[in-house]
Order: sequence, then structure tokens, then C-alpha cells
Amino acid sequence: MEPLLKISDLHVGFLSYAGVARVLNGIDIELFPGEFLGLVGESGSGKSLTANAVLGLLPARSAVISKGSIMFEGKELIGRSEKEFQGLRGKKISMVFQEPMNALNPSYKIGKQMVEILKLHKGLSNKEAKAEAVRWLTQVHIQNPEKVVKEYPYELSGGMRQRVLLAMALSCGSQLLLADEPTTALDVTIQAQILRLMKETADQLGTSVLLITHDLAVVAQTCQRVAVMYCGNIVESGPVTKVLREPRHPYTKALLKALPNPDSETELQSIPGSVPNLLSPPAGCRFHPRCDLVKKTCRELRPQLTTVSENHYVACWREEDHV
Amino acid sequence: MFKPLLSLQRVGKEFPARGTGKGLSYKAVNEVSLDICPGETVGLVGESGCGKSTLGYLVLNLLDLTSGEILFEGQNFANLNKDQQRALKSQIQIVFQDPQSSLNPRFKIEQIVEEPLRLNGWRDKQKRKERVRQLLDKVGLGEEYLARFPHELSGGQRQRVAIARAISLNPKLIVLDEPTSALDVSVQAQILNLLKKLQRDLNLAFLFISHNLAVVRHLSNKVAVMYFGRIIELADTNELFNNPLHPYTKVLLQSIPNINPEKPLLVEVEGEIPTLHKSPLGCSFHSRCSIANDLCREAGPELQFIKEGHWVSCNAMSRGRKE
Repeated sequence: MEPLLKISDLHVGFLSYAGVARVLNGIDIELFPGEFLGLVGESGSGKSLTANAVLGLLPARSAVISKGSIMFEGKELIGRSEKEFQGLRGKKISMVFQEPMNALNPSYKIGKQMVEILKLHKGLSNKEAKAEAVRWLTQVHIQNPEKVVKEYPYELSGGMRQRVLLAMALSCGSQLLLADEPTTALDVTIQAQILRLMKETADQLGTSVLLITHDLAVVAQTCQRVAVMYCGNIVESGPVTKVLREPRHPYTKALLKALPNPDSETELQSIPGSVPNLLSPPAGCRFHPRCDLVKKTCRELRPQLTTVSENHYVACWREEDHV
Repeated sequence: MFKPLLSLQRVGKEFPARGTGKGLSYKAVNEVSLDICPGETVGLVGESGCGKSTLGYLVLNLLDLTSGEILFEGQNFANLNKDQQRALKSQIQIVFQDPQSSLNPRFKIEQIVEEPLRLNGWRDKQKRKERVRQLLDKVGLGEEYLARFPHELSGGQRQRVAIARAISLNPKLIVLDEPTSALDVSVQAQILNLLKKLQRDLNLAFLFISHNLAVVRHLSNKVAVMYFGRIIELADTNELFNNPLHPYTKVLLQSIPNINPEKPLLVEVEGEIPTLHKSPLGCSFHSRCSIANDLCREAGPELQFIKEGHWVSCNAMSRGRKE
């Protein structure tokens, strides 16, 4: 099967007064039609940046894509004009953000904001678009959709706003949904509702979802595959069951051990050190200064993703020792 | 049993509901009773807007009570004179969620940690400096941080500074208001381990406010669940997580995504958290409760003793007992 989205060897740098910050350092991601892929990692690892690169939303003045390609439906996205991206955004690729209050325009009613994109992308008349907006709000289980279209974002709760955003993202028939921490700002009971809704609707429409989150448990509950990012690299990727149960990369292992575990009272294991400065990242494997299995090669050469079992890839020099 | 260090007795806090024009008020905290013993951690969980932070501020005497009373070591704060109040205030400290905004950006770390000492009668400059060094050492920061500004530190280091400041006056109780919510999991693990260690060394009591149930479970001896201004269930940690009795607690526990992909999210609660404008009569949870009956719609239940170390506020419990 052809992947819907294929990012290969993507390098992104940011120009700053102190030099170039290499924030994406050759990442590879494949996303297949109808699939949920989780992209996890800590703050600053480059998760959101990856999504922004796909949508052509990197700041033109400071961000430089120095190498790599982003193929969507078999066509290259890098180098497209702003106008071409405008035709894609919201129509074929949509995004749901963490903070729905910031993603919605506070001075327009919900209905108007939904109608606007439906008219633009689907060429509907005002009346048709209004009916379509109400239909989509029903689809995302909003009670009283006729009332909600006449309300402003501030009149809705956080969960409702996120439902509206999801409806907007899917209403023009997007094949790819980029969800950037969609439930991080929500309470757990509401988070559970939104996750279930996302899964239901995406499955029903056959939409592929790239779910960006720092919460491994959210990934465990929604995704089929997961890619773990550290400092601009993908260090491990594979089926959720494999990666979470038999993690191979020391970073993935450490991340899982840092989570409070209800079954044990033991002291949490934190990862020593801190995330390196991207202006002068460590040579070789970027995780090596914090890794307890470090060896000579790790300090010198960057490990590539290699297959450890079916669909399970790890970028670590220690894998050599197992062979 | 220990004598409680802090005892809340039917504490209530109302805020005027502005803009309604009807002189209404909003009961942010409603008839809350809770004891905290020396050296103990009481977890306070609940969703946004349920009144957990307000309760924390009441404990710190940052807000005036509308009803009820708070006793600290048997003394009622309201009956003390200014000097006594001041002495008592130094016994209760707080660590906030976001160290970025709780540390003065124009102060060096040394000044930040020194300030409470300076304001509480530590006249000798040399002794103050000595104490600051000692405190930073306790939270795992070296002398090189003394002359730095908060913006030069990472989130985890800033939170360590906030903790050093909180323990500077040898308090007996620290209110921790979402101390790790702004941090990544690996750093969260460091901070939680630090808090545990300090608690052991200094015999501190914690009121640990969080919406993250896994973290609360890891740190707390007993847990109070708040919903809409009231404590609806209070139990020893293991008892609460293994044998939740209130329908809301059950829903809350089920909503936590599990790291094990084979334990799917169970049926979650429908509906949203009530707001001031839609405050329900009777039990505040009845609008979302699956076992609500007519009684629940009319009469709010009281917190009642179920067995040693377990209190619940639910009409269904008293029904079950009578039958």
C-alpha cells in the first residue's frame, strides 16, 4: 500500500543570532490511509514543527528546510507556493490545535467560521453551507447544533470548542488530520470523550491521523503505530503494542519508567541531565550524554533507524550488540 | 491517631456572580471538611473549576472564608492578632504550577530564596547567605545558580527554586498546586522524587492539588475528590483507587487512559461539568450520573462515614444501607 504521507530525511533549521538551531535532524515518517500514528516526545523535540512543516506553516524568514522531502498523495509538498498550500489546508490536510480558544476567531459566531471554509473549499451556497455546518456539529455529538452555530467561542466549554474544531477540520473531507495535543488542555473525562469521538469519526471517514502528544497513555489508547522523537530525531517507531511493551531504545525505556506506575511504590526513575541545546547538539547520537548504555560509536556517529522486528525500527548503536 | 496539623471545618467560599444583575453568588468551595496530619500527603483531585485551587488559597489564608473555620495546630487563624498571624503564615507555604510566573524575573535566584528569610527576621546577612546555599543544595542545585536569573533556568530547575523558597522558613505544611503539570514526564519524575525526599527529611505535610490521578496516587497517603465545590469522596489512596464508591470517582478513574493498549477506555461520562449559570439542584453530579433518581435531583447528600478511612457523599450509599 502506498503511504498517504511520506516524510523522508527531513532537516529543518532555524536561523538565530547565535547560529543555526538544527531542530529537525533527518526524520522519516510514513502514514498510511486510515491509520492513527502517534508522534510522542518531550517539549522541544520537534513534534509540532513536523506538523507545521507538512502544512507549510514554518516561518518563511527564519526556518530553512535544508534537505529531505514531504510527499503527500505521491506529490512533493516542499517548495510549493503559498497559494497551493492554501488549497490544501483545511481541504485535504487539516489541523486541530491544543488550545481551541486560540484556534477559533473570538469575534465570529461558530456558524460563520464553519460556513466560511465550506464556501471556500466546497463551493457551497450560504444556505447549503449553513445546513452542512449544522450536520457536522451533529456528527461530533453537539446537542442543539442550531443554537451553537449562533454562539461565540467564549460561550462554549473547552470540550465543545474542541468538538467544533474537529468538525471544521473534517467538514471539507480531509484525508489527513494533524492533531497537535488535541486533549492536553482538557479534563480527563472530557479527554476520554474527545479521543473516542476522534477515533469514531476518523474510522468512519477513513481519515488518517497524525496524533502529536506527550502522553504515552493517550497514544496507547488511540494509535496503531507510534514514533518516539528526541531532540529532532525519531529514535524508535513501530506498532504501539511492541514499542510500549518491549521498548528497545534507551530513551523510550527511560520515558516509560518515568511514568508513575500504580502497581509499584518504588521511586520514579528520572532521566539524568537535560535536553541539549539545539544550537550545538551533541555529536553522534543526540541522546548519548544522558544514556547509561553509551559506547564509543555513540559519541561519534549518528545511528540510523534499523529494523529490529516486523515494522519495528530503532536508531541505537546498542542494537548492533544484539545481532 | 495523630492530632491533625490542619483542620478544615465546613469551610465555604462564595464569590459574587458579577454580570448576572441578580446578586447571585457562586459557591466555589462548599462545606468542605478535611484534616491533614503532620508528615502526611493529602491529594486533592478534580477537574478544572471544581474549587481545588480556591481551597488551597483558603488554607494559605490568601482568601477570606465565607463560612466555616480553619484550625492550624488547633488555633483559629481568624482569632489571632497580626503578629501571630504572620508567624502562623510562615508555617504554611505554597508551590505554584508555573514557576515562570511565580518567580520574580528581575531577581537573581539568591534574592528569590533569600526574600522570605529577610522578611521573617533573619537579620544577619552572612547567615542568610549560608542558609540559601544550604537550601539550594537540598533541592539539588549547585552554587553556580546563585547569581542566575529565572530565565536562565529550565522549567524543572525553576520549580526546584520555587521549592527551595517554600521550605526556607521550615514550614510544616506546603500546598502544592499542580507542581508538575507544566513539566515533561522525565522532569516530573525528578521533582516528585525530590518532594518525597524532602517530606521524609523535614517531616512536611503536603496538600497536593492535581488533576493528574497517576501522580496523586504515587505521592499521596489519602485522596479527596472534589466536584463542583464539594468533597464527594475521601479515602486512603489504595482504598480510593481500588474501591471507588462515588459514581463520579468511578468515572474519573475510568477516564484515565491506560498505558496498556489492551485495556481500552471504558464507557465514559456524558455531558459537561456544570457551570455557575447551570448549577444543578440537589446532588451536583446528578445531571451526569447514571444512577441518579428523584431524590438526587432534590437533595444534596452529605459526606458520610462508610468504613475506617473512607467517606462518600452519595445518596445511593445511604439507600444501600437502609435497604
